[in-house]
Amino acid sequence: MMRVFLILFAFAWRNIWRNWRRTLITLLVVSIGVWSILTFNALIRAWSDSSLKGSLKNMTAQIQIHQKGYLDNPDMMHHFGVNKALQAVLEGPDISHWAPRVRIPAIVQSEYKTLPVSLVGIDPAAEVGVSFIADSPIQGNRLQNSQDSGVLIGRHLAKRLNTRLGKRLVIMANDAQGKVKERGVVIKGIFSASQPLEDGLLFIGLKPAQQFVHAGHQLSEIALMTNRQPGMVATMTRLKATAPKLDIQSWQTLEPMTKGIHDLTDGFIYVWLWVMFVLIAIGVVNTQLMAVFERTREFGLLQALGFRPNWVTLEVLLEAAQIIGFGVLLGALSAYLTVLSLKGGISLESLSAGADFLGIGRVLYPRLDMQELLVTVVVVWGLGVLTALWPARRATRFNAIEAMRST
Amino acid sequence: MNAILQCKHLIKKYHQGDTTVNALRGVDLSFNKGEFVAISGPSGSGKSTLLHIIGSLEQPSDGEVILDGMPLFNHSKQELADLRLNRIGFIFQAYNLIPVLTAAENIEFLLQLQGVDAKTRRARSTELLHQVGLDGLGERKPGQLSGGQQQRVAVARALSNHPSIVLADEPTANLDSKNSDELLALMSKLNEESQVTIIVATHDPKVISHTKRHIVLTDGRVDTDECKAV
Repeated sequence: MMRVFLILFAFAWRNIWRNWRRTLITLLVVSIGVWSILTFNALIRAWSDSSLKGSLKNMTAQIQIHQKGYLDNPDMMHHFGVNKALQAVLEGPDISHWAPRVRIPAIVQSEYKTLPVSLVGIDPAAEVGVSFIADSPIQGNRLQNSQDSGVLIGRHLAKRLNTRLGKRLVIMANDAQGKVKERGVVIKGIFSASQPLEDGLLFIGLKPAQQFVHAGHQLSEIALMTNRQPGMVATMTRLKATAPKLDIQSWQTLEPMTKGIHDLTDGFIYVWLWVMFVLIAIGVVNTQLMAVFERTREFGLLQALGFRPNWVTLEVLLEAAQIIGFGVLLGALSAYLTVLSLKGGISLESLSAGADFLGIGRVLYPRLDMQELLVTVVVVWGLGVLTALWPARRATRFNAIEAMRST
Repeated sequence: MNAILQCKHLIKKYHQGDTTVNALRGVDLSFNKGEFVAISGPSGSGKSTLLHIIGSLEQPSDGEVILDGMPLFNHSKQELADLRLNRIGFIFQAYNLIPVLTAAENIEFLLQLQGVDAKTRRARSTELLHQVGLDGLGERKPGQLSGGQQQRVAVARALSNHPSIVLADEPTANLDSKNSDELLALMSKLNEESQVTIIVATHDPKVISHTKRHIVLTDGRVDTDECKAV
C-alpha cells in the first residue's frame, strides 16, 4: 500500500501543475485564508490581552478578597482581618503578588471644588506587580511606604480641583463606626493614567488610611495575582476553603465588560476561522471538480489499465492535500512573518480616547500562539482534504468505458 | 492448442428507458495463445461490446468469460482492476496516453504499479521503445509526439506488463494510411516475436488483412469465424 501511495503521490504532484495558473490561484486562496485567520487571531488576541492586562492593572487584579457585603456597600463597616491561615495562603506558592488595601468612598475638597473619589490606602511595595500605581508616570514623588501620609492624586482630578503639587486637600469619609471623619493631606505626587483612574482614585499610605477610619489593622480588600500553576481557578478554590466567610471574586465577576470582550474575541476568532475555511473549501472543491471534469476520460483510461477505483479517489485526494498543504504552510509562514514585523507593537495613540474607554492599552502587541498556529494548520489542512472527498468520489462515478466515451 | 480465452454464450443487453438493445445474443468463441484475431462487423454489431467484456470493462448480462482457466466475473472491482493490470493490455482508438508522463514513463507506469524495480522498468521500456521504432524518444511527452508515434507508445505500454492478451479497439481509426500500415506491421511483428494473443475490433479491411483469423459479428452473433492460411 505504501508503494502505491508513493506512486500516486508523485503522480498527483505532476497533475497539480498541469494547469499551473489554476493551481497557483487555489494556493493563493488557501494561503491568504490561513494568513488572515492567524493574523486576525493575533490582532484580536493582542486587543483582548491588552484589555485584560489594562483591566487587571487598574486596581482589579486577578482575584479580590472582601468582607461579604462590601461590593454592594464599599464602606469601612465591611472590613476584615488577615488570620494566619489566610496569611499562609497569601504568602504561599500559588500567589505571585498580593496587595492589602483600605478602599472607601470619600470626598476630596480643594479651595475651589469638592469632588467624590475612592480613597485607597496602599502599601506601595505590595502594589508592584498588582496595580498600575507602582509604575505609572508620576509628577512629584511616589508614596515611600505604607506609613506615608502624603497623597497621590490623578492628573485630571488635580486639574478639576484646580490644585497642584504641595497643596493641601481635605478628605472626608465615614469611619468604621459610621462617623464622618475629615483630615488634611498634602499632595505628594500627581499620577498619570487613564482618565477614569485619574478622576476616581486618591492614594495614601495604608497605615494613615487605617488610622483615619479607625480601622486598626483591618482591610477593605486584598487584590492578588496568581502564578501560572496551579492557576487562578485552583487558587480561588483554595482561598475560599481557607476563608469561607469572606467574599472572594475573580476579575471575571468584577469586570464583566472585560470578560465580555474576552469572550467576544474568542467568538470572533472562531467565526472568522469558519468563514475563511468555507471560502477556502469552496475554492478547493471548485478547483478539484474542474480538474476531475476535465480528466474524466483519463480516469476511465486509468481504470481500464488497471487502476483500482479507490486509487483514483486517493490520487484526487492527494492532489487536494498537496495544494492545500502548500497553501497552508505558505499562509502560516506569512502570518508568522507579519506578526514578527509587528513585534514592536501597533500604536493606538491616534485612537487614545477610544482605547482608554475600552480599557485597552495604547500599544497593541500581536502574538501568535504556536499551539493555535499548529491547530489552525492541521484543522484547515485536514478539513480541506475532507471537502475534496466529494470531487474525489465523483472521479469514479462513471465506469471506465463511460468515462472514456465522454468528451 | 489449449484456449487462453473462452467466451461462453455471452449475452449483453442495454436497457434504455423502455427499449432493450441486444448487443450480444449468445457469442461462443475461443482464442489460443499467439493468435492475431480481427473481429469486424457493421456498426452496432457488438464488436466493441465483446472486446469490453473480454477486457472486464463491462459485465455480460449472461454467459461467461474464462481467461487462463479462471472465470473473469467472479471477482470484485478491485480484483478485476488487478487482473487488467497484470494480464490484459489495451490499445484504444484515441491513443490515450497520460499527458503528464513521458513516453518512457507511460510504458513504465503499469510496471511501477506492479512493483517492478526501477532498473528493470527502465530496461523494459527501452527495449519496447526500440521494438516499436521509437529509440531516443522516451523523454518526450505525448504532446511532443505525432499521432502515429503516440499509438506506437500505446502498443508498447500494452505489452509492457507481459499480458496474456492484448485488446485493441479500432487502433488505426485515427491514423493516416502510412501510419496505419506501420502500426499493423509492428503489431504483426510483435505478435510473432512475443506470441502474445492480440484481438482487434475493427472495420478497417487493412487491419483484417494483417490478422490470421477473422471473426465477423452481425447483430450480436458470430456470423463467420475464419482462420486464414499461413
